Amino acid sequence: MVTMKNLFKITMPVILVMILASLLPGIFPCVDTAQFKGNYRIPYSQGENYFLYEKYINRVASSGRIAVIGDSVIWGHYTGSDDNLVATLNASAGTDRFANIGIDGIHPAALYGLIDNYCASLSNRRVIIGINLLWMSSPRHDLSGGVNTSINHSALLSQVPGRIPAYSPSVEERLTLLARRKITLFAWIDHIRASRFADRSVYRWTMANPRACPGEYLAGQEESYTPPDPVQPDRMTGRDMDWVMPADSLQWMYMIKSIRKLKTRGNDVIAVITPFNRFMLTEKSRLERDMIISVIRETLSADGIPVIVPELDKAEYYADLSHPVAEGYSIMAMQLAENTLFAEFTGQHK
Amino acid sequence: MLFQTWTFFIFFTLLYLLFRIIRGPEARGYLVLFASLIFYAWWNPWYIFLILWIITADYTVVFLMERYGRRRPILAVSVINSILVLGFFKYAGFLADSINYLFAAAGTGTAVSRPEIILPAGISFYIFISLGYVFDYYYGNTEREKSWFSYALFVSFFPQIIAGPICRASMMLPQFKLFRGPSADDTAEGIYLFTRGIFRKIVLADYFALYADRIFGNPAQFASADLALGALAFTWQIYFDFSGYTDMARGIARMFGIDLMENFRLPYMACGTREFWQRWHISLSSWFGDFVYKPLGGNRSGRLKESRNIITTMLLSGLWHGAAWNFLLWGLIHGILHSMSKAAGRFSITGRVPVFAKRIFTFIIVVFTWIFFRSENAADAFTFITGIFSFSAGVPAAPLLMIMLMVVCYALHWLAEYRWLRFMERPTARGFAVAAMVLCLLFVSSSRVSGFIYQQF
Repeated sequence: MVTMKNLFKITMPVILVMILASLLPGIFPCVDTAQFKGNYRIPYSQGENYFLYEKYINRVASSGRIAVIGDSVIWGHYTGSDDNLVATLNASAGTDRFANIGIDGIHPAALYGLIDNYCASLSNRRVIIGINLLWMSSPRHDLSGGVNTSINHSALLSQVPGRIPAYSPSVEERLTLLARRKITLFAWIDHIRASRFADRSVYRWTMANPRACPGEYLAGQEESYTPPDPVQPDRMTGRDMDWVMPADSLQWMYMIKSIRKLKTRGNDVIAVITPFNRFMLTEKSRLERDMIISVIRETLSADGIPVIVPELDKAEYYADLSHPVAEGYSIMAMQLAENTLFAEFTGQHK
Repeated sequence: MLFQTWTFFIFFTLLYLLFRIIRGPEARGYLVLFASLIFYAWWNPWYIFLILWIITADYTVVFLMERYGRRRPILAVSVINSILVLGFFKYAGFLADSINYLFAAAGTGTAVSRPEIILPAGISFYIFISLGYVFDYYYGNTEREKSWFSYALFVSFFPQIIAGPICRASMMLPQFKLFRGPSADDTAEGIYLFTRGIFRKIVLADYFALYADRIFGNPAQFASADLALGALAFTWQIYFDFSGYTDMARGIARMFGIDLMENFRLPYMACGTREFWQRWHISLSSWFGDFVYKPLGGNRSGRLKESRNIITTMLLSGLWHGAAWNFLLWGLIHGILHSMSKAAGRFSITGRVPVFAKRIFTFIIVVFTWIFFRSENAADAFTFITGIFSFSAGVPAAPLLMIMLMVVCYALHWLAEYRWLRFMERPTARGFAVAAMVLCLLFVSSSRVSGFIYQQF
């Protein structure tokens, strides 16, 4: 009896602390939500902060705005937060009708994980999904080639071994990622670290700033994003792409799965195949690109998903192979606004 | 599979549940043996054959000794087998490097190729556990274990296989025979020890490692104060790293109702280098004391031979730690210091030095010896020490938090030594300590997992 009492005395404080700690994520999410307005997009440095992303999605869902989801093309890698596609659409609509829920660097396999795990609150809402052909432009991008140790957003990938040939982490890495995804307390701790402490533990921070006062650490850092310089049009030369055709493409399979996931949640979905720079393709690659677009169009149309394919006709509208510059986004927004399917979609009220 | 990983968490949970379901010491023994082999195979499945070979060879040697008497040639078979296995896996590269160095110095222009062998995890530990049993039997300290399975479990018991403690058969085999399962007290103690161990490793050792690695990575670049702080950082890093592992191992074993021996007793409170070795890595020190120092003659054959025996034992201890000249040098220094302190002890003047001064002096000496242990090579170690005594100016790059933590650790050592922390033995105090440590771990730990220093030996 005495020994049971000792065990109780040791375990009780631990259980109490764990209960208190697990309540923290529910108590403090309000700190972040104040900023989710206008042309807000998940900051570049917080791209892997999925706890923050989920809070943002909840806010978008409750506001009834049209969510625009996708990778860096939707996010606006070469522009500020007021010059990307969503910002331009909002400017032409005159209201904050659209919400930029894109994430820089996300690819379809990770996008599926994002939608599956963090976008449940978007059910029954209108969603515009961006499709970037870049992810099918080579077996490496498609993740169907050899093992790649630097895959973006690996925390969002399926952790079942063998599903993604290029993704081959250790069992321990898979378990760590799963724990961070499934245990809210860990996700919240990661969020606090990423959003307040520049993704560093206090230990690493003290090493980098040995003479700074620890109080500075608690103050966090202001987010600032400087878009990179675009490739100059005169340097854009035609290249041969090692395209992976949709029938064989892993990324396309995940894109289809993502769209179907949204549909099963009652979302109205429209797909936008974002422009792929034809000024950087050889004639052969350009034809292959057009073929892929027509296959995508057919497949999605068969699923009842409207598809829009904006086109940019000048090299200076592009920043690189797949990203437009601010002017390119304006043209895209204009083309979308003039598109009947888009007008019907945005004019719908659920 | 490191203790502080999710993989181990799942492994432990499954094993613990099965262990609680299964009744009877024999069935529990089989289960834990099977689990131990899986645990070891996780690093490299092929090395499972190596540990099975060591177990079977030493089991057979003791069987032969029982049958034909405790004869030296039979004992030699086990010793030679152990030396050959260790020599091949651990020292072949060192030997090749040394031969090539001699060839180069002689200008022969030839070189032997360096074998690229992956060192099996914990090889020095389980070979010493097994060889210790053979020695114990040879000297009549223990009975022969009749069951191969019980013996295999003793050698491969997963909490201690990677970095000890190097427990003796007389302590462990009777526990495995009973395998009574944990009492509530065992579980409480196990939880406390495991949490303390993981806290020591992740919150303390890994922090000190950040600074120590930076300084030892390029000692020539830093000023005196940084070098001194770097040496201190490593002093605390290695203590918390190794004692953290031991705590975790003892905690896990305790949760299965098994008591592993204590391996550390506030080593930085020692009053001399001899006492340091009675407090640091106690299981290894007693192994070398019983099976090397004493058979060499110990202190029975005059002062000169005693010094020779001490230095030989410490040299071998250095070599056990690693196949490199800096480890040999580290062992030699400890041997010389140990002999000198014995000689100095004969003068009455040493008795007048206050105990606190002896403790501080010994601590400083130990810090300097760690420089040889941590440096990439002997030249780096001398550069490091010369750098400290160059008294070069410069504001240290050491974080204030780390310096404060060092001071707190040292102060806690003093308080614990003088029994001011006895209240921490109360279950409620331990409960709050565990809760505080868990909280720190949650916020400080990163997703990056670092290995233990001693697991590479």
